Amino acid sequence: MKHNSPINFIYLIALALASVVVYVHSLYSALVFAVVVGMAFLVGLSIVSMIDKIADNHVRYIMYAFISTILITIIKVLLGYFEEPFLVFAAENMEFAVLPALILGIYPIYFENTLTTQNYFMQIILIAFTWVFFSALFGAITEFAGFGAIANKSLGFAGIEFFAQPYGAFFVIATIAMLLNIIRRAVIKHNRRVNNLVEKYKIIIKDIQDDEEMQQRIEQSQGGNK
Amino acid sequence: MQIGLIILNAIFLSNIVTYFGGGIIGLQSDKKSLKYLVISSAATVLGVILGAMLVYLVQNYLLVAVKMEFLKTFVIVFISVIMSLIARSLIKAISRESFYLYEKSYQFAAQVVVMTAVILVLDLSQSFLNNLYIVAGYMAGYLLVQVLMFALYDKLDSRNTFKPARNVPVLLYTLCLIGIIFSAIGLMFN
Repeated sequence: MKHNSPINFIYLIALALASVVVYVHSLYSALVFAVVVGMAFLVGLSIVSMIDKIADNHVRYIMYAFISTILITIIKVLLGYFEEPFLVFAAENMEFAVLPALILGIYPIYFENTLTTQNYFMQIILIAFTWVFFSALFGAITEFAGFGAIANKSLGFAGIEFFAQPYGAFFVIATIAMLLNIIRRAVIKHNRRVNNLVEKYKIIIKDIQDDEEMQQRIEQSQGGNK
Repeated sequence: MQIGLIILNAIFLSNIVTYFGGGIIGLQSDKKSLKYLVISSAATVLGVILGAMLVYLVQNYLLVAVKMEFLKTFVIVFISVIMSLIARSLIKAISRESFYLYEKSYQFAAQVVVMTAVILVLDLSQSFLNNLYIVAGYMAGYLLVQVLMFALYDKLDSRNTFKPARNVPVLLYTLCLIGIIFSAIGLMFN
């Protein structure tokens, strides 16, 4: 997100997760939401990337919104056939998965449209995996701190009410976003240092090659004079 | 009295930003100009109210009649997109400067999300008027948070803030505090 806003994809993932805090209370519910949204996000953006060059951002976003909504509706209908309690609960609230899917689509559509095809797909896969990891971590922390359980198994304490409330969830999401942002910044810094070194060595190698070429020419011209 | 309670609950206890979280994306864009904030928020409010009325009619008089209620989510997103396009045209007609800011950021997408978030949480089996009061309460709550956060927009990227915590984490920490205050105020009315 270059000139418009200092926001990055970790921040958008945080905002996407914040839009479903009322419906995500456990590791399993977070994982169900995360996988469904991740799938809708990847399929929707892959289809929309085909009209990258011919349509403007708003048109691509509208198309993405429709495709991801249709996919989530189909998944909701299919989940209705399962009898697992957490899947039944997830299916009841599955329409809210549209919100994180719509928010996640903003970053690749509005801010990554200058990337090459390969980098674009790498970027959306990275966003999808970070989203799943972020959601799972959030679900586990909320279940542990808010309800005193891990993966539906009670740990013997009731949990702290603050973390079971939406404002507690915002606190957890902000903290995870900050930690992941520290990692993201470290990776970017490392990659920049490596790229700078590669550029530096490329210049040195080119200089050496130029010198050798010059030396050969001098030797050739001296041989010709003799 | 009951209408007042419904609206107060929608503003404080189940605020669309601090409780449901769906409206947060509406806060996260270039809203450093008060004029732009007022115009874009007004367009969003108008879009949400019209959209909610349309969705109510389509859901109760069309989808239920043809037994295709499962299409509700798609209808909500479709109507939100249409309403966002209308809101975009309104902003363009009202102010060129605001439209420039609108197009520069991702406000269109944010509007679609906010409209979808508000309409999704409505219980469409309730009466039309009840839903209208709830939507009015949600939008009043949304505007209240927008006004409260307006002072913070300049501070979101302040140099004094720890770099990885700038922008969204600061926004979420502040919303956490506002959420605690709002739920305390909301509980006073119940």
